[in-house]
Amino acid sequence: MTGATAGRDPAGRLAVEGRDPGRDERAAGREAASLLEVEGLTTVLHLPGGAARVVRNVSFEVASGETLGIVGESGCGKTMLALSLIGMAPHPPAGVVAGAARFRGDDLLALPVRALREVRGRDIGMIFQEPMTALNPLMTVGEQIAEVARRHLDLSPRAARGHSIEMLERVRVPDPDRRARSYPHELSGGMRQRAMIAAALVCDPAILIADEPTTALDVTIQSQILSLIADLQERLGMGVILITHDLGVIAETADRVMVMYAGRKVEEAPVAELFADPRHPYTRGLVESVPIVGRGRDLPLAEIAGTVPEAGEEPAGCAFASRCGRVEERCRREAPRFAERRGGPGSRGRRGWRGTACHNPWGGTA
Amino acid sequence: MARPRIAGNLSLVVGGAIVLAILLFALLGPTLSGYSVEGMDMRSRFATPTADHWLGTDNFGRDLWTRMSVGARVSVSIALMSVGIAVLVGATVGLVCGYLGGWVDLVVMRVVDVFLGFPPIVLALAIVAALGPGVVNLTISLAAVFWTEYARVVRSVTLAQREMDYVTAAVALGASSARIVFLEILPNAIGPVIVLATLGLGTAIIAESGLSFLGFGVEPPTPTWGWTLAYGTRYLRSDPWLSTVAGLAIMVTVLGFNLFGDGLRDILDPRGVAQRVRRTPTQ
Repeated sequence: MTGATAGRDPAGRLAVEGRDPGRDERAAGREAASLLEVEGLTTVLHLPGGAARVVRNVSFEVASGETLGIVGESGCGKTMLALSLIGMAPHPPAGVVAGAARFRGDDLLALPVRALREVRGRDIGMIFQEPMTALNPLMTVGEQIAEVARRHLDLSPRAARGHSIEMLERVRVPDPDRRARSYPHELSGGMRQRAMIAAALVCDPAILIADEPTTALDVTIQSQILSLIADLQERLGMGVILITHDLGVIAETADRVMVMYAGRKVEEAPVAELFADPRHPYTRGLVESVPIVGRGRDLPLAEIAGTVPEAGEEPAGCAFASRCGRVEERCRREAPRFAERRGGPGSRGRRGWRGTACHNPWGGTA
Repeated sequence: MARPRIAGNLSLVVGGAIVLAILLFALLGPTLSGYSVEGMDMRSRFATPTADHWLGTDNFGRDLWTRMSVGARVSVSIALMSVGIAVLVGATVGLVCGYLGGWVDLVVMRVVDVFLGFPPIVLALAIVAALGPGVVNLTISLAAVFWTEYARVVRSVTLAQREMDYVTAAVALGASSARIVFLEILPNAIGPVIVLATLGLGTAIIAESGLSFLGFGVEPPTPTWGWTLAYGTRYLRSDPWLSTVAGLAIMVTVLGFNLFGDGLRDILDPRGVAQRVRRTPTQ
C-alpha cells in the first residue's frame, strides 16, 4: 500500500482515505469531452496452439485531466491493451483484429506506422515498469531526453539540451544540470523513473500511459512518483492511463477504475464506488485480498482460489466461473455482457456511471 | 561522474603507443635507415642486428628494417582495410537481420552459412584466383571471408538488445527504426565487435602471409610481412632470425591493436569504467 491508507469501514468495506478530497470534486465537475475513446479493442496473440484473444472487446474512455486506473492480475491483458493502443503490440505474434481508438479525430488502430511514430512521444507518452533498464545505458540521461525534443519539437541540439535540463527540473530532479550529464547507472531507481517521465513529457502529451510505473520502486519513492505524476497531470491537463496490480496505487491516484480479467473488462466504476461497493465477484475478491496493517492478524488473508486461465483457454461461459463463489449454472454456459448502470448512488453526471460484466453481481443485477 | 579518463586506462595507453609506433615505423622506417628496399649486399647476407642493419638482413643481404617498414605499409593496410570492410558489412547485415528478424533474417543467415561452410583459406584462395592477385583483390577476398563472423556476432547481440526495455521505451517515444538500430542498439552491440576486430587484424596479417606464400597474394618483390615470414622458414635451421623478426612484428602489431581495442571498449562503455572505479579500494 502507498500513502493512501485503506481501512475498512464498519460495514467491512474498503474505504479510501488519504486522498485529496478536492480531487474527486474536481473530477466530478469535469464534463470534458473524451480525449481517447476506445471501442471494442480486440488483440490476438498467435501461439503455436492457435490464436488467443488476449484483449477481448474492451471499450473505455479517458478525458483530459482524468486518471483511468486499469487493474488486474498478471497476464490479464493490461499491458497488451496499452501497447495495442499505440501500435506497439509485438507483431508477430500479436495483432489487433478489431476495434477503434479515437484520438483527436484519428483512429489510432488504423494509422500507418509513420503517423503513429509522430503520435508516440508527442501526443501520447508512455512510461514503463523497469526504470533500471528502460534507459539506454550508453547515453546520458540528458541526451536521451534531448533526443525526444529534437525529434518532435525540431529543436536545435543546443536548445534540446536546455529543454532536457528544464524537463529534469520539472520532474524534481535535484541538480538537473549535473544529472543531465549522468549515465543511467549513476542514478537511483526513483531518479531514473523521473528521467523516464521527463522524456515521456517532453512534448506535453495529451495522454500519459503509465504501465506499472512504481512497481519496481520502494514505497516511499513510489508515493513521490505518484504524486509527481498527479501534479504534472494537473498542470498539463493530461489524461493518464495507469496500469497496475496494486489497489493501493489505484485508490490513491485514479478517478475511474477498470478491472480486467482474462482479457475482458469485468467492471468499471468511479474509484470510490468501486472500493465501497465492488459488484463483480472478482473485483470484490481483489479488494478483500488487500492486507490491512494492524487488523485481524489471526484472520487468514482473503484470497481468490485458482489461477487465471491460460492465454488461449476460452471457456464457453464467464472466464471467472471456475474461481467464482457466486457461480450459477448460467455462468458456465453463457459469457456475461458488460452492463452499464446509471443514476445509482454517488453517480454524478456523465462520468459517474458504473458497469459490470456478471450474471450474478453483488448487490443484484441492475 | 566524470567522463572516463583516457590516461587512467593502461590498455589504451600501451596499445595506442604500440599502434602509433607501428604507424611511425611504416612511415619513417626507410628514411631512418637510409637503405633502399631492393638494395642487395651479398657480402652481408643473414646478418643479425648490428649498428649498420638494425634488424639484420635477409637472404640477399637486403636491410630488414627497411623491408619490414615498407612491408608494414602493405600488411597493416591490407589488414585494416579487409577487417574494416568486414566489420562494416558484417555489422550492418547483423543489425538488420537481428532487428528485422523474419524471412530477411532467415535468407541472409543461410547465405552466411554458405560462406561459413568453406574453410576460410580455401574461400579466400578461390576469390583471389577468380579476381587475380594484387593488394586490392587480396583485401576484397579477406573481407569476403571475415564478414560472416561479424554478421553472426552482431546479429546475436542485436537479438538480445532488441528485447531490452530501453528499445521499447525508445519506440514508445516515437523513434524510427533506423534510429533505434544505429543509435540505440549499435552502440550497445559494438563491444564484442571491437574485441573481435582487433583479433581479426592478426588473423588478416597471417592470412595475407599464407596467400602470398602460395602465390595468390601480394607478389614479390613487394616485401610484405607474411612473405618475409614465409620464406624465412626456408632458412629456419641455419638462420632463424629472418622469420623471428617477421613473426615478432606480426605479434607486436596484433598485441598493440588488441590492447588498443580493449581500452577503446572500456572507454566507450561508461558502465565498465564505473565498475573499475568501484573496485579501487577508496572506501
